[in-house]
Amino acid sequence: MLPSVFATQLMAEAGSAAGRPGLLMAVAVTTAAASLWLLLPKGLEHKLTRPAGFILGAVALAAFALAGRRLGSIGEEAVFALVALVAVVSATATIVTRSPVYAAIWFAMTLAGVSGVLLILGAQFLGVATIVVYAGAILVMFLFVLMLAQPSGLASYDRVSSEPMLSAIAGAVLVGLLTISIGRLSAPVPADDVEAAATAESDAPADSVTAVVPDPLFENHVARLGGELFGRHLIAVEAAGVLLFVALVGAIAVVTRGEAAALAEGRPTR
Amino acid sequence: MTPVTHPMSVTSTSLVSASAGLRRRIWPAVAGCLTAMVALLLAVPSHAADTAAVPTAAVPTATAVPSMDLAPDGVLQNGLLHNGLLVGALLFALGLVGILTRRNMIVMFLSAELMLQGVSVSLVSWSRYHGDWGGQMLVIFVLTVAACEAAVALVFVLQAFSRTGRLDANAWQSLRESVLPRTIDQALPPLDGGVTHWPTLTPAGVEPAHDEEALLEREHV
Amino acid sequence: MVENSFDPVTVLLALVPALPLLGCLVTVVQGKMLGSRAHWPAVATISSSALCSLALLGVTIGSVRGASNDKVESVHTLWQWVHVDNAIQGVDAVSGVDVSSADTNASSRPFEINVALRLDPLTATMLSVVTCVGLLVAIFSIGYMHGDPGYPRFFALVSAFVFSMTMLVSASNYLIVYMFWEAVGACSYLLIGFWFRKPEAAAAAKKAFLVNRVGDFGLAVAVFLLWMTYGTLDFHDIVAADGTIFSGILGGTRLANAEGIVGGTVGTAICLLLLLAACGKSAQAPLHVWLPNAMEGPTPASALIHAATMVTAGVYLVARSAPLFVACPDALVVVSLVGGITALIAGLIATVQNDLKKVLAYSTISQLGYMFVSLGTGTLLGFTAAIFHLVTHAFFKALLFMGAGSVMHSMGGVIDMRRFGGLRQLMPITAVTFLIGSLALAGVPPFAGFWSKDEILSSLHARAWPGGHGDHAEEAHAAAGTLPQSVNLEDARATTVRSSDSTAVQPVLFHLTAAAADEHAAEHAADDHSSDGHSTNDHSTGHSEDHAAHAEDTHTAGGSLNTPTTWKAIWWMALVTAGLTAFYTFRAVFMTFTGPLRVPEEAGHHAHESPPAMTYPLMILAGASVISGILIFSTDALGWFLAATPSLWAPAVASTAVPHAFHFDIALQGTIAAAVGIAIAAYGHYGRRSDEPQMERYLGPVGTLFENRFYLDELYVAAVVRPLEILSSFAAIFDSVIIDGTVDTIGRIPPSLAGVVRRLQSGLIQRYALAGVMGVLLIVASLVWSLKQ
Repeated sequence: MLPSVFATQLMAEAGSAAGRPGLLMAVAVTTAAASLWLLLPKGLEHKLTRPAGFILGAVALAAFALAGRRLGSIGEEAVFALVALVAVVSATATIVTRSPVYAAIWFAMTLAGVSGVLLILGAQFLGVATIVVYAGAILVMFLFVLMLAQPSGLASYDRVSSEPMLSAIAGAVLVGLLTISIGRLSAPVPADDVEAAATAESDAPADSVTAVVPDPLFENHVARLGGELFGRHLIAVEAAGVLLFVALVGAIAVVTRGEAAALAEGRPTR
Repeated sequence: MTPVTHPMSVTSTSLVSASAGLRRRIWPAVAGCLTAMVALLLAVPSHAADTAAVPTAAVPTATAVPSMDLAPDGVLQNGLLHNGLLVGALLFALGLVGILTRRNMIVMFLSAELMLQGVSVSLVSWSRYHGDWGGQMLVIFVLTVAACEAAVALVFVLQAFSRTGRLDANAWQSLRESVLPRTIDQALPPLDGGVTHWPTLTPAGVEPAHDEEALLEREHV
Repeated sequence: MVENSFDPVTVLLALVPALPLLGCLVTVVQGKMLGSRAHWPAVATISSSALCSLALLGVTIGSVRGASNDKVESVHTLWQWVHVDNAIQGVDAVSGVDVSSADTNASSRPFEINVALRLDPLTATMLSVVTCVGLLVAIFSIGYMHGDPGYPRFFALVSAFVFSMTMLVSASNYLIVYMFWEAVGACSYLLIGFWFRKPEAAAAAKKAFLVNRVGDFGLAVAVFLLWMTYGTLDFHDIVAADGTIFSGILGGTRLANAEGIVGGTVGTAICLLLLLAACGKSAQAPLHVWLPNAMEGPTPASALIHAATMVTAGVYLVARSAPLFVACPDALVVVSLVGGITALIAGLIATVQNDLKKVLAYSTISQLGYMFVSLGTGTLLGFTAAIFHLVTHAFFKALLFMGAGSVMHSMGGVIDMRRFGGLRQLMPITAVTFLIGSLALAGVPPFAGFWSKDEILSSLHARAWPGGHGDHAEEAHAAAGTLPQSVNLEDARATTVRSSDSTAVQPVLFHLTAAAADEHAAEHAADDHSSDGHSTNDHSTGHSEDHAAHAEDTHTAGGSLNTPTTWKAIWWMALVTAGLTAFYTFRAVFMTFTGPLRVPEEAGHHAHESPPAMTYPLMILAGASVISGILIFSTDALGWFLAATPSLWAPAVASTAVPHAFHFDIALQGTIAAAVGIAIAAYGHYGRRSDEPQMERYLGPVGTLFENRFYLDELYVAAVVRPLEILSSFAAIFDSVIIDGTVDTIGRIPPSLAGVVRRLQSGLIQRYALAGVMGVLLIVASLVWSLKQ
């Protein structure tokens, strides 16, 4: 139980840390930027840059996590944290890894994480659709393209980045700004009011909590989603179908034209 | 082993062949394991610790699927929204950094897809918060559009590749100002002692050469 | 009399300038199409204009005969050009006299310019001369300019010139005169530079225009001063509907008033400025330098403009403004001095010229100097003699120029007299007419020049030796520097007026008794003593030139210039010039027409007598040179016809009239001078080869001085052209370095800024995306910041 007490204490501190969001965000943003910069491929690299990057990345993630809100129970929090961690870490790995193939694989991991998040959020269909469509179709398409266009060996352009520092800073600052703006939306309820509500609730039997309301998005999820989709958004569905068709035709057209042009110029066609 | 044809086996093969480089990825693996352990340890619900310091509005049940209790002004929903938005923002920002930084066009598009993932998460969070289907509808269409976009974009990438032989975004600089010289990378030293041969996907339709002897030997049953 | 209704005189007056204008426009528009017939519009319109002028002359003669001692003037206002109300307060601010009417409200007067044409004896004379000589020149040009590619342009310009000149002499307003003063200058520029591709011609045209500009400046300032002094620029009086008379500057009411014309400093300034203008246009020293160079133009143009008509515009202006000059005796002396000095130096320069046209050009300058000498005497005889000489000079100088043109045409463009000779056998008509013209120019009786020159010398003699022909009162006047005036104006008029009706006189005629004259003299003496005195002695030729150059200063020389000594000096200058005139004229005649026949190679097949189109005008002008002088003199047209011009009818001028007489002694002196000149010329050049220097050998360094035109051109270059070139080089440097530098520097700012910005466009799309992301961050940050509030 010691780790749980430790964790609880950690979270208690986090609650108080939420009272000083500025410092926390500053720390988070700085460490995130530094870690990204360290992690991004930059050609010549010292042996320790990547480990340092990982450590700093962990610190940044912890800081961002502290900026998050508490969920219902530790279990929920743990699951969400795990899934989110998978997603974010895999995303980071996608963009920092040298090999494009590895990047595709890490992307698949990211998709897994995202799917988990979507499932936690109750979007069952989308959670599965993400895996099916993205990981099953789009990612495979990427891999096919990689297969067709693979460089022999580790290409030089995979080992260098364009403007790593500025981009890292930009990304980190963006996250910081968005987090601050998210924070505005969900100001924490003052502790004494919640405590009073909690004690009042804890007195009552667990089943009769008035706040429990069936989730309209949860029951018969897929059926309801389908009904919504083909009811209210029917035209959009048709348009999406047309879009898919157009993309299909367009892709083929570009390829055939490209082949004709390549023939004319004497380049090898693919 | 059978010839690799199925996409999923491609993935698994890659994973397997990537284990050689796992040493470099030891740290995220360790971090991930530690977190997993912590999460498992803490999976046991403890009521006492919750009510004192953590504002809650409902008693969570230890179900596999967390109960999505809807309280419009409840902190619970706010918390999920907040965290979901945070994750979405992180994914979006990471995808953005990837686009801005990586020069391989495939990785750039992967990063773009990553941004779309972030957006999807945000949209679904909002949909959950408001109890509205709109967000999830939009995500479906985002998915659709992402697919189309990926298709067409990758065709263009291949066209570009066929013209220059490289997947480098910096290969295309013709739109620069005429007074500026072409940006050329400094020559990088070759990887020393490192992997000189990266695993590549085998050309489609060609059976790779394999050692007959090794195939007939079995270490385990 | 001011008439404003439709009547034949108005029509004729308007037609005289309008017809050549029409001819010019038709030639301009249709010139190319007309081709070799392009002379028809010009000749037709100028001849019609000449007929109208002669008709007007007849009308004027009739009016003078019927006017009996009165002035004759007929003003026809065509339209009102400018009218600005309340432009000037009061009138005659200087003299304090309100001559507008008996009403002394001194109300403000408008600035009003009416395009009004006038008809009086002076105008009629000038119109006839201008149009007739213009017609003859146009006919001559048919032959001379035959085959020239600019044939239509020439006739357009000649028509334009005739239009401008006729408007100039018939305008009744100083501003209109100024306009057409400029116009004739412009026509002269265009005609001198007719063959503009020849650099010397273009340069000569520019020189003529720029030197004329100096004179034009004088006229402009004079117009300003006239406006400020008199409140009007009209010559004539304007009678308003309610009977109020607004006096013109040369109007009857003002001239009849003794105080009408302003004298003193302002008056002298006006007169000297008018003299400056006249010097510019009539090529008097020091503004004479353009006329010899103007010979680059076609010879008919030289004949018309630079001999007969344009150069006489200055003489016309001074004659027209006679009352103004008479009110300022100092200005008169300056006029005479300028004329005398110019005549002398031009005559000296002409003696060593080898270019036939240059000889004639300097001769023109010299003869114009004669006219100015005559104008400067300030007497009625002086003014009318100047006009007389203007008329006769127009005939024989145009004749001489056209003769030179005929010679030049035959000699294939060669005009250097040393290269040809003995042409009388080749071109008899030209030779004879040229000889007649030369005799007229030299002043040999009974040719035209003799009579006019005689009148000038008489007038001059009367000023130099005033006691010679009058009583002692005139000596007193001379000592005080005033004009010799007849004691009784009426008597003076009576002897010159043919009509016996002498009782109809203006009520404002005044009689100048001796006492009143002494009063007048005392006034002048007080005036003179109040200003600085120049000693009478230091008026050598060179200093007078200098003085003439500063003539426009209001620093009057004091009354000390106006002494009999000065006039005697001018007399001797005139006499010597008469001799010189005869000499160089006949030197030219003998070199060209006598001696062995020599024809230059350029002549080719041209070396024959000119075609009839060229010889008929020569013959007509030769006839005019013979008879015009004796005709005018014997009928005393000057005394009764020209004297009816309002300017000359003015009591201030008319009171100086003397009885018409032939002064034998003066004529004898003039003739002797001419004879001596002809004799020396004959001795040196008759029958000899023209390329052997004769009299020039004896001149030595003095000859070099004459040949180099007294180094006046070089003086101008050093004193005017070089400083201007230096100044303009400074200005050029300033313009190119500072102004252009500033503009260029400012112009370099956008490219340099752009050069900084354009580095951003590297062609690398990820850098572009990064820039976009930076922008997005800014937007998001601002949104977050706004949410904070």
